Amino acid sequence: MDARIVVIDDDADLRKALCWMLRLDGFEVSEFSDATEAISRIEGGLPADLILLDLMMPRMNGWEFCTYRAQSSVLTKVPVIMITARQSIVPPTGVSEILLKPFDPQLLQAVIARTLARPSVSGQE
Amino acid sequence: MPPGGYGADPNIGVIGDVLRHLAEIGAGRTSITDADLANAPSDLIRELLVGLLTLHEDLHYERGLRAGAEQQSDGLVADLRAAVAARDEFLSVASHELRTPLTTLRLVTTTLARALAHSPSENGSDLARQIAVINRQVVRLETLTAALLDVSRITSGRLALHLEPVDLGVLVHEIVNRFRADQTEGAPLIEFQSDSSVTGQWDPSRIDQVASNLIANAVSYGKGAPFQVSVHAVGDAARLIVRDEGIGIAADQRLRIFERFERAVSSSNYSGLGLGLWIAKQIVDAHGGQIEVDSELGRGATFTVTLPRSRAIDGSA
Repeated sequence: MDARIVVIDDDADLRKALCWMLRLDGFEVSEFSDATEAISRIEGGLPADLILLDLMMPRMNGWEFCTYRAQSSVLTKVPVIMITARQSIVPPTGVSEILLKPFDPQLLQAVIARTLARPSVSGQE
Repeated sequence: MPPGGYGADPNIGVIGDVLRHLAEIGAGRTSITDADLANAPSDLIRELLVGLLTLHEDLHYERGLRAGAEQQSDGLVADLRAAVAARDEFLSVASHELRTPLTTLRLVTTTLARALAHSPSENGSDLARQIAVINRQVVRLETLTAALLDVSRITSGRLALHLEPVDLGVLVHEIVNRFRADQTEGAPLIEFQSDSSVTGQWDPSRIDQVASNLIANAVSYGKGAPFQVSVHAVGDAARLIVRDEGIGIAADQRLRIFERFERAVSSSNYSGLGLGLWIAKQIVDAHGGQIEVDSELGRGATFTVTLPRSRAIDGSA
């Protein structure tokens, strides 16, 4: 089965562009502009094998999402790739990879493949 | 005024009093009053007191002028520092804010090209060519943005080096091949030559930036003539040489080109920010190396980068 990716980014154009590329790559994609809504949907049963997370968001930012994630038995199983324009940030707890904007789309594909191939991910379900 | 005034014997204590008045004047004050002038026992002492008062007033006036000038100068320095800080802050914020729209553009154009390849249409090849143009321009914008960000990083001392074992010949060969692959019709031929195993401890992405800048300059200013890129091991150092037969650099410009926002060519003829060689020099300096140019106007240019092959580096520039 194709992996299911959740994209959380408040920038609609970037989020749509990410989703378009990921769907073309054969992933099943869900998108959220608000991290709290994503949390509620994933904890409510939305299948997720990977989360692409923006850092700077208005209601709940990427750091706050990761702090919450560390306490959540459901979310903690889902690896997170963070996307940010901020240089030299300390990776929040549980973040597998950080992609610095602007990135080559091929790099994003490679990072997703690498993250999904890790035993902690493939061993889920 | 001495106890008992100057009355009884005008000469007694006059020298001591003058010295006392001078000391007071030196400290920026005076105790000479109008009454002292009126009651002076002789014209000579009155003239002396008037002279001391004039001296005090002149000094007071000069001190005022100097303090004003210092204050003005301090203000100008503070204004200048604030302007430089504002410029650096602007560069940092602007380059940072450009990163998200650039990411979106790159994702959309790349995916558009892929989507088009999956569903060929009548004018598909025209569209693919136009998308490739957009992609190239996005990459160009990314490069410019990265240069601006590097300026703010370097000026604030945040250029971090990530050292690892690198074979300079292999790295530069890859860069040359990248340039060859990107070149359009009529582009200059790039000749490459390297000693074997020119290894050292360097930051590969930053050395890539240096070599790419020098090669891009040779493409831009090389008048379309073939140019040479070579890598050599020279004792404890590695040397990268980029030699072109292009427009060259006048003697008075040779040092200036390594300065920020400086260019040896007219901005009306050649585009660019004038940051590439400055950034390249900062990167080479951070590695403990040197970058030099040998050139004459109209006779091409040879850029030589010398890098120590192993060196304890503090990791920042």
